Amino acid sequence: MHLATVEAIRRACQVQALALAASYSLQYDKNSSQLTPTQNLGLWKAIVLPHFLQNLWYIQSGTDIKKLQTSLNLSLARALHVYGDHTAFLANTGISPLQLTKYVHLAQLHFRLTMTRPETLPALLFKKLNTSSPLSHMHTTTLDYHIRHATHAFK
Amino acid sequence: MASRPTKNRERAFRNMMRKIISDLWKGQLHNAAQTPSEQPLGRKSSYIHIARDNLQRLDLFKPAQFLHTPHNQLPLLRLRTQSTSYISTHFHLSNTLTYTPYVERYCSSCLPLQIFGNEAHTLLHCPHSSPLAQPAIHSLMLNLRRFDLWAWATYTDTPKVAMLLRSIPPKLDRQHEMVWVLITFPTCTQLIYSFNLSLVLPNPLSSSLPPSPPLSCPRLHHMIFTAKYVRVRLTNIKCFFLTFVTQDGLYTAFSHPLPPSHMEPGNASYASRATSYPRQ
Repeated sequence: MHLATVEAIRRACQVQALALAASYSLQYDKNSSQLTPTQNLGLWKAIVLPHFLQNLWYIQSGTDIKKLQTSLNLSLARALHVYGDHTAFLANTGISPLQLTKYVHLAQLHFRLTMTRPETLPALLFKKLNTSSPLSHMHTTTLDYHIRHATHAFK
Repeated sequence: MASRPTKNRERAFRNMMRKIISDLWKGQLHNAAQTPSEQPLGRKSSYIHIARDNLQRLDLFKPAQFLHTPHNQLPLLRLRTQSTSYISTHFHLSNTLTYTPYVERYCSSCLPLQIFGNEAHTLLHCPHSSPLAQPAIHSLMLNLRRFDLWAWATYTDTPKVAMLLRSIPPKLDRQHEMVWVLITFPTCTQLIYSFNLSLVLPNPLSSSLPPSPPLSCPRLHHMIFTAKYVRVRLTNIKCFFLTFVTQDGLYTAFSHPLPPSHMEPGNASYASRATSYPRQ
C-alpha cells in the first residue's frame, strides 16, 4: 500500500493548493470577507482531510502511517498559518492522530460486517474465515487481523 | 443502498467509538507529559501541562471552545501551540542557528540573568512583560470571586497560565463553563493582542529611522518597556535601543548613542526606569 500512501499525499497537496487559492480569492470578493480560522479549518476538513482518511484501513505499514501523519500535520499548519507543536495543534483543532482514526474505521468496519449487514458476501467470508482462528494464528498483513486487533485495543 | 436505520446504527456506533478513542487519546497525551521531574522537558509536555484541564473535555474530536468564537483567534492558537515569537521556550534555534536545549532557553528580556523563559515566567514573573498581564489577572480575580471559586493567589503557576490562555478554571461547574468562556473572552483576547503588539520587537535597522518620541513627554514616563544595545546589521554600529508601549497599543523605538544612565534627566526623565545592559 506504499503507492496508495504516496498517491494520497499527492492528491492532498493538490487539493490543499485549491483550498488556499479559494481562501485567498475570498478576501477580494465584494460579497465576502477574509475567512475566519474556523471557516478555514472547516474548508480544510471538507476537501483535504478525506484524502488522508480515504484508504486508511488498508494501510498497514507503520512507516506509511507516520508519513501520512507528517504530511497531514504540515498541511494543517499551512492551512491555518500556525506552525507550532503538532500534538497541541491537533488537540486544539479536534483532529485525532491517524493511528487512532484507523482504529475507529476498523472497528466501524467490524460492526458493519458483524452487526448491521451480516448477510452480505464480505460479511459471510469474514465470519467463515475468522471465527475459528485465534488472533495469534492470523497473518499480520491481512485486513482481518487489523480489524480484530483494533477491536482488542478497545477492550 | 443501506436503509436508514442501518446508517443510524453505524453513526451511533461511530459516535460511541469517538468517546472511547478520546479516552485513549487523553491517555496518550498524559503519558507523553509524564516526566521524572515535574518540570516539562519540551514544548509538547509544556502544552499538556498547561492544557491539562482543557483536555478533559468529553469529545476531543471537536475543536476547542475558544475556536468557536467568530473573531480571529489565531494569536491565541499560536500561543497555545507554542509558536509565538515572544516566549523564549518556543524558539528551538538560537541567533547562531544552532539548536538550543529546552531547559537552556532563557528569557531574552532578563539576560544576563539565566531565567527559564517559559509561559509562566513571561506572563506572571518577568519584570518586563508581566505588567502587561496585570489587567487580565485583575479581571480574572473578579470573575473567580463571582463564580465562588478559589482565590487567584491559591493557584499554582500552571493553572494561572491556563486561565490566562482561556482554559476553564478547576472546580468550575459544567453549567457555568459557557458563561465563563464568554466573560473571559475579551480579557484574554486583549491580553494576547497586547503581548503581540508590545513584545514583538521591531527590526533594529528600521528603529534607527524617525519618528522618535518626544523625550520630555510625561505620558511616556511609565510606559518604557525595554532598553538594550543592538548592532545595526549593515553599518555594524552599536547603538542604544528603546522600546515604548503607548496607551493606544502602538509601539515605537529609537536609537541613541548613549545609555540611559548617561542621559540628562531633563532630556529623558523616564530613562532611569529602563533596564540597561552592558555594552558587549
